[in-house]
Amino acid sequence: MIVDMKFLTITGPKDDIDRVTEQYISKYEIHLENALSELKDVQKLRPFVSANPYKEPYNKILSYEKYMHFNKTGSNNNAWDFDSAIQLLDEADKKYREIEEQKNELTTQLDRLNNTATSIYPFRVLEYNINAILDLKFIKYSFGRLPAVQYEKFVKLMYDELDVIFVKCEENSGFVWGVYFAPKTQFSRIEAIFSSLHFEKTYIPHEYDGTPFEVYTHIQKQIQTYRNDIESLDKKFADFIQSRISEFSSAKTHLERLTQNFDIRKLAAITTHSDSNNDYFILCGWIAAKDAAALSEEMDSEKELYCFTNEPSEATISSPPTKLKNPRIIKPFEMYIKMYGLPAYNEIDPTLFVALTYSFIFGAMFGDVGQGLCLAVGGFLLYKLKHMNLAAIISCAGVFSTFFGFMYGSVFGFENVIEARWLHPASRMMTLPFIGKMNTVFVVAIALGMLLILLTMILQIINAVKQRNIEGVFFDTNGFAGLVFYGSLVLVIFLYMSGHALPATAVLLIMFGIPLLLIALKEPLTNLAEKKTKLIEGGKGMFVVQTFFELFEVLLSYFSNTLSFVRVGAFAISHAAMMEVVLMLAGAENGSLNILVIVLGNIFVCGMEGLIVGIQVLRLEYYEMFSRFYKGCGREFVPYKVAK
Amino acid sequence: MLNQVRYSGISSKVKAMSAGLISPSMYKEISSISSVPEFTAYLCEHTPYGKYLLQTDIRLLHRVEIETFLYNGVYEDFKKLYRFADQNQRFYLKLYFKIFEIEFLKKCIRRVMSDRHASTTIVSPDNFFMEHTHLKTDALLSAYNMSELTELLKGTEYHDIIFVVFAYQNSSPFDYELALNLYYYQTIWKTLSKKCSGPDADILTHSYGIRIDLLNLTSIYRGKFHFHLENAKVIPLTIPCNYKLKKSELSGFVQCSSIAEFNEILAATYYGRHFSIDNADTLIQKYQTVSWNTDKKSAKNNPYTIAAIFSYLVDKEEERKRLVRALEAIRYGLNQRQILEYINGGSIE
Repeated sequence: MIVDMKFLTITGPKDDIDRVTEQYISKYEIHLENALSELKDVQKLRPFVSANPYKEPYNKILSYEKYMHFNKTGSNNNAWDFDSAIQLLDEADKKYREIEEQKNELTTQLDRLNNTATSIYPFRVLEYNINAILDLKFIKYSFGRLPAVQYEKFVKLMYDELDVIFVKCEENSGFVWGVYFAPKTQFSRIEAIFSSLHFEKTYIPHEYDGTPFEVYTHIQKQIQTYRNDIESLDKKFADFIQSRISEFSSAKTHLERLTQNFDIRKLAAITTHSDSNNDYFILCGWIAAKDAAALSEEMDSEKELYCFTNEPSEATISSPPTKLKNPRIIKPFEMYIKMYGLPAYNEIDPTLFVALTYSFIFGAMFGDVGQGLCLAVGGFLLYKLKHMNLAAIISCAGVFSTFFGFMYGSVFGFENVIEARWLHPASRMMTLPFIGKMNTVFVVAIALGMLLILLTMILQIINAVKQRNIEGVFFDTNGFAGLVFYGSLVLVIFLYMSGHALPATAVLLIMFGIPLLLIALKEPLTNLAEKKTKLIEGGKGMFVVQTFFELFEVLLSYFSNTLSFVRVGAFAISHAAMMEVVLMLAGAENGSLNILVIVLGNIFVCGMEGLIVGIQVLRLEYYEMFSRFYKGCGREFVPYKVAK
Repeated sequence: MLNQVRYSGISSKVKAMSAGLISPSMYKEISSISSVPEFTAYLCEHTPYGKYLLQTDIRLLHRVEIETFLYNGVYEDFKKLYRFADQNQRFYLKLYFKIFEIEFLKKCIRRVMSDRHASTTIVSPDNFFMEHTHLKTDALLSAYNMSELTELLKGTEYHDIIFVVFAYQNSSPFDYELALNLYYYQTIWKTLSKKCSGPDADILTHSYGIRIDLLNLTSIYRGKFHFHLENAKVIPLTIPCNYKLKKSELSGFVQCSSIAEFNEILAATYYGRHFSIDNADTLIQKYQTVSWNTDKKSAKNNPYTIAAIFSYLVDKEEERKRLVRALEAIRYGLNQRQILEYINGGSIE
């Protein structure tokens, strides 16, 4: 059933809003609405804007989170307040900046070393001491690289005749790295030649001693030391945070709460009192009627806070949200309702209806004692352990399945173990006038369908009465007119099938004709009843054509919806047939049973049939039944979450 | 014998296509044309270029666009021959295909390095090109700068060359194009010398070998004595391969100090002896005739080898150059005698 709602408005001094949130709103379930849009008719409302002062500290503490390793024993100290949190953050900030400075220094050094290492790397094969090269008095040198193509040509065409020695150190990606030595006197000429060949000089640092390879390894060692230093700085900071981890985690939770609760301002409005020039906040929303009374009482003691409650009909713009309250057995079926759409505030809650019809029809389509028990027990266990709503639904359906198993006399597919209390679906036939011989289950299924449709029509009338919708009550296809028409149809068919005489034609005409006429003319009649001036909107000709086709559709829908229930019988039969096949495969007829095949077959049929039947029944619920009486246009009751 | 069977088909095709080449009498007629639209009309009427030209409105054609059509004429003929050829012949034709790839790359580089690169549009290459190339054509056509272009060439054979030129202090489009030209000859030479044997390979080796040698000689001569470059500066202009020129001879050419010395060394080389080239000046003009004659002789002596196809392609390329020169001469209003001389590669007085 749907919980009764009251519209709640709380107002008080602007600065009190946080206390109100923590003290009162956290205790009750309140669906808060945006005050500005709800209270449109109240004048002089302003939005409650103010910058969130907790956001920055909170973000900052989040950025330190990567240094925190939480162990389960950390406690959350509730006696924290905002100022201590800020103080803690300031300390951390200072420390962080110190360490960053040191890190930057080290990083610049590291980059410099990396550059040197890269420039010296190509020359590592040179087996000569660098300082010795630098010390040469009469020979000048140049380290560098030139394109491989030019190097090739140079060697072929000019190298032999020149006073130069080129030591090739490495060749890759189109370049040749090396050093060339030439006498001091000729060096400028040689240099010119090399630059014509697009030679690029590399600078080699003077500080190191040894061959290029030794220098390279030496620099790499230095690089590693710097890297280690940087790492240890990072660790230092992490240790600092870790040493005061409980403080940090409490501060974090506290800031988290403050930040989240601050957001309540987004839903509030501000107004200024004309006399005192003080600012007051306004919060409004929906609350269950019982809670409303309790809250009002609690707030009585407050001097500055005021709390008003209104009935939904007196309120405002929006309609109340829907909060469903159902006994625990039926509660899992709310999942199906939510899938279709929550009932509007003034509709009836169909959960009970769905619970009963779904389980019953499921059982009829899946009648087997053994499999039903498995479903029931399995679903129940799953629901207890994992709290899956679907499991509970399966369990319910399983119970009815077991019941029908006894009715059909089927245990795990064996039809000869117990006696059928009612009939075997696949075999029992009956004869009907005009239609002939057919399975009894089909006939029963259709009869069940007719009853259900009549029931849904009654539900529709109840809904329409609640909503004060005249058209819905009297002239709708599912209103009184439809009820009379369909009821008469059912009656006539029943009389005919059971061999009784039909009523006279005149009676028939009245029973069928008048309701149809009412349905056809539902619009003009409603307008008449509501005392509107214009009876037919649009042209008369258009109206006639429209009505004709609508009637056609109405009749067709009655027919097809009724026949749709044949599937109940069909699946009952198909279940039996499939189990027969399983038994046949297991060799029941020969006498020697293959247990493995039986078990596997049962599991397979259980799974497949279960899935199919579940979906088919849901379809029947949604399409044949819900479409007659249920709109599902409500919105959900979402209580405002106050972070603790 | 086997060669005759393999090449008889394509040989006949080449002969048929050769009938469409422009004859000397047609060049005479062209030289008497006085305007560019008339030139285009002549091409449409009398040459196979008409097939492509008539797909557009020829009255609107600009000179640059006509040159593009002439270039495409060579490309279309190449495609025809390639499609007709068998696997073995295609191997050699793939070497020739590199010319088109390099031409495409040059266009992209020119576009990136020129100021007007936003407005120049290069036609996207066709399906045949895309099938046979490893280049990322779409990305290259829209590259924003040389750095991006070099990046895009990663994984292709052209990356290292372009990257090296990119690393120069001030690389100009000339540097890139020179590098690509040299690379073309170098890579063909490497392929021919390492992987191939047989009459086809021998013919091509001879054909390209002569071209490489003569190009080197021409570059060295012009570099040293027309542009007065120093010896070392001439080296980047040369192709790092040699055929009939010995290493010592090439070395001598690079390091010689006067034209007389140059001619002396030249006279002693294979070329000096065989083609009676004793004057380096005539070398430049001789390059065309020598290489053309070599190809023609190869084709005549070995009609059922790759020489037939290559000789046709060379002829077609030569024809394209002549037509471009004719177009230029007509555009600048030279008289008939001048045009004819210009077409035939001579300089105008």
